[in-house]
Amino acid sequence: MKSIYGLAWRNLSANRVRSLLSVLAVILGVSVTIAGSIIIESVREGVLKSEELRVLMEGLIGLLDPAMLFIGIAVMMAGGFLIFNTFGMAITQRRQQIGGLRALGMTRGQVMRVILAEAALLAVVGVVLGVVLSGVLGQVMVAFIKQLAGDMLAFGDAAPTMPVVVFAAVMGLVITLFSVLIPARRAARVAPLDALRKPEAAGVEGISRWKTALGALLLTALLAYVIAAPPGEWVTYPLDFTLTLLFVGLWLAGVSLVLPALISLAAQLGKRLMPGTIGRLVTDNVQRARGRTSLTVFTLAFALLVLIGLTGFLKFFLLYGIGSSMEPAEERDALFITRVDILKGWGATIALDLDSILLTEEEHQAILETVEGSAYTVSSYFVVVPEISFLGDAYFSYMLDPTLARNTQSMFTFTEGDWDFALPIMEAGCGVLVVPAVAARHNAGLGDTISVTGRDGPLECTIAGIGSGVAGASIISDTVRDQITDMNPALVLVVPYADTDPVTFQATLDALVAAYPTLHIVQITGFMVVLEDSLDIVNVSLNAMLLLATFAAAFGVVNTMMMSMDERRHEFGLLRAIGTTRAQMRRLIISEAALMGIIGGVVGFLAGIGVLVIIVMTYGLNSIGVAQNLRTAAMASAQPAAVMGLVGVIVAPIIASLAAWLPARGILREKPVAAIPRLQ
Amino acid sequence: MAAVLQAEKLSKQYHMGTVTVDALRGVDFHIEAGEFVAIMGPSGSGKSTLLHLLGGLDNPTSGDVLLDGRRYRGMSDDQLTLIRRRQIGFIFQFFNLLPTLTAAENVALPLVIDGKRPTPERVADLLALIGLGDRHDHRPHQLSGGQQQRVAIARALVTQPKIVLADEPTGNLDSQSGQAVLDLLRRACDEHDQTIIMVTHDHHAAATADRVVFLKDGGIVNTLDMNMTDGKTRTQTVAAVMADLEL
Ligand SMILES: Nc1ncnc2c1ncn2[C@@H]1O[C@H](COP(=O)(O)OP(=O)(O)OP(=O)(O)O)[C@@H](O)[C@H]1O
Ligand SMILES: [Mg+2]
Repeated sequence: MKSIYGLAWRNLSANRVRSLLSVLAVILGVSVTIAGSIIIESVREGVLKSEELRVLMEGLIGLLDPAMLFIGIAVMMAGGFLIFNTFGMAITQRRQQIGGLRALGMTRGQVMRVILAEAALLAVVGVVLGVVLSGVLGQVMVAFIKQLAGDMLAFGDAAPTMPVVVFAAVMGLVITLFSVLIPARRAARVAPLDALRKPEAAGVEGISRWKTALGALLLTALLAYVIAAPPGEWVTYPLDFTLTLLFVGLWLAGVSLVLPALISLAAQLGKRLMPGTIGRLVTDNVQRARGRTSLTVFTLAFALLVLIGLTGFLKFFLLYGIGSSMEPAEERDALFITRVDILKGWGATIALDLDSILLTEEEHQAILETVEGSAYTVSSYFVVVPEISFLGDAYFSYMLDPTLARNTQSMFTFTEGDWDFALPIMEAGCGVLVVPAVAARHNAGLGDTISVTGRDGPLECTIAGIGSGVAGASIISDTVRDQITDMNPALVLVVPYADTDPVTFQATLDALVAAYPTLHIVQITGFMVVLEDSLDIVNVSLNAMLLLATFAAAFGVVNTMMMSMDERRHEFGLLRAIGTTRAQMRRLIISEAALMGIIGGVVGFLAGIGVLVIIVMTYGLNSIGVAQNLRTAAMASAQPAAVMGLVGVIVAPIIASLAAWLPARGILREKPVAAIPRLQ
Repeated sequence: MAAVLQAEKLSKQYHMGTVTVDALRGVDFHIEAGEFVAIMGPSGSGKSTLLHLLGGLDNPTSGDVLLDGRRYRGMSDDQLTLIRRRQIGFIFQFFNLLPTLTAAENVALPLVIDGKRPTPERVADLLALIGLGDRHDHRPHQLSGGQQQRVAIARALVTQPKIVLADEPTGNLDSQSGQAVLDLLRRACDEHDQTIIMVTHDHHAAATADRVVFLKDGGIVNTLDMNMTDGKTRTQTVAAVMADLEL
């Protein structure tokens, strides 16, 4: 050993389990972050393979962007938290050793340098391996989703991008050093003698009353505010996103502030519910070793919270956002005729080029002639007019004949104005029906003029109505068609008259398809199912990422459990020596972990529902111009999420027990003497 | 009287890579009910190892331990555990207490493990006996090393075990507390007919016992019967034998 850094190396090799777990945490944290971005990229790649199809398809993905981002952040946080957890715990365990080194005459600076050198080494190894592994992990996840999706959605091949890799690597390093620095500083601060005493596992750390009060206040205030005056009702893009993140952050902070008090409360409750020896020991342990318990509980709760929040948010967005904009069409038994066999899934669409998607002039005329007399029709052109889409050029708008659009009663729901006001404007020139976010962006109201990009230069258009269009798209009148597009319509929306006989009408349609085999009839109801299916698939890919986050969190639990089992080896040895049977030990360890799991599960469940309510109420649906009763929407979205949460509440104790039992088994299998320390 | 605890040709080897350490080499040893035996020997001579084997905490490499004529070998782990729980009290050389429990709770622990409800009076009596009546609710880290050791002794006595195995119980104590502990063990033996085996480095402590067994390099090399030794010169006699051993 030539220098104090030799000590760092000794420490690492002497505590192989701890070093290994720490490196694993970094590997997982980094690779999960990168793999998450690979999945997002691959969804995007697949959908946007054909440049021309961007217009038609990117909207769908655009809608999911916020969800993707939320999940990406969640995955990253889970990864970072895992690293933080592991290193923080490892340092706390080493309090005594640090005291010893200080007593031997090492300065604080020297101690810190040794510890940081160790952490840096682990972090570098972990980051390198994590980056290498992330490619594999990402591809495996993508392959898994592809398998599930079949033809429903197309996925492209994506490689990790440089910025993401750099970001993940830096994150891994920074979080590692940060999570070592804080506990190490605290350890180096204590007087050498104090550190030499028995570890703090004694659980002297009291519950800070004002922290608990602050946390409780934060949680109640936040929840009360979003429920009483949902910001989602007025907030618009991009503030909706920022505000949601801020509130979620505050919510998490509040939860971590009240956690110690909650654990203590739960332990006291547990004491009543678990009588007898083991119950007493279990609840005592959980309550007194609160530092250790908090980490495990928080990890579990966090995983569950992310799961509930995202499941609920997706449901909310799909059901209340996209789904509700199609309701009018659905109610009128609408259908559309197109060249794309959408019922076969999006995969089929993606393979086509733009020319084979658009209706030919001949087909277009044939459709109109066939249904004439038995249905309203409106030919729909898909155009990109950034000024009137809530997502700018990342989303399409419809170009329609206003009178025909009105007749279908399916394309637009007014919140300001009506067809009587809109029609004259739209027939006289460029009139637009826009979502509220767009009107707000232009700071314009009904009857105001906005300037939009035309093929030959800017075009003045008048806002003829404000409300929500199908799938969140705005509408521009076809009176200015030449100035906007030279393409054919992609589909004809067909809404049967109320007195049309469905059977004969179906026969007419069948004859049309027989004459033009390239055409396909898509019922809106059927389309909704496809949409839901494909959204389910997107959901699956999001869930795959969530799985990564959950995996990271579960590993965090295993990690903290393993470390604490290792730390408590002597305790177990002593208990065995004075007559605790293996069966008793098993009960003790498993019920202790299960109790932590239950606390984590319940806290995660409640905090998760809370986070969902906050997201729904804060984010709202303004960005796609859908006005909804957010309170009802939050309630409804919470239901599927609650089911997920309940599963979590059941699974959490199982994960925790397994995580505790696996390492403990090894210790218990040995003769008790093996766990009795020979040296202090 | 019949031997309550007996070791037959007890050997223990530790393998560390290619090196084999013979911690015990065929030790024959027996102790009668109500007897107080001290074990002495240089550091590393196998004292703790012997104590652990006698307490059923570890398996010998060869040889046997018998309690009341029943062999440990062949007993299930649960059977051995129950023996440790009800018939043996342990005082270890290091780390005796659970850090999360108070002194009183640590003392009561063996009863709790046995599913019995410890009476507060009994615990209080024991704590008073070891001079820590006022430290009832203190946690181990709030106690000195010697105080922790005394709590461990109270815990070893709480079940009134037939046998007490103590590894240097006075090692951390000043002479006054050390004497108190010795008196305690002596009384346990005299008044309650408990059997005591105590490892010690202290000549005076060893002289409190009925018999002193000397270990060196894993084997018994000498035995002194204290009752045959003159009261005044007991400590010196023990010291003389030890000095011989350490040569
Ligand atoms: N787990 C182990 N692995 C390897 N060697 C061991 C182990 N336990 C004990 N030994 C060795 O066995 C021998 C006897 O150890 P033991 O602890 O019984 O000595 P002791 O007489 O109690 O010493 P001390 O007075 O210092 O406590 C020593 O040489 C020791 O190094
Ligand atoms: Mg020893």
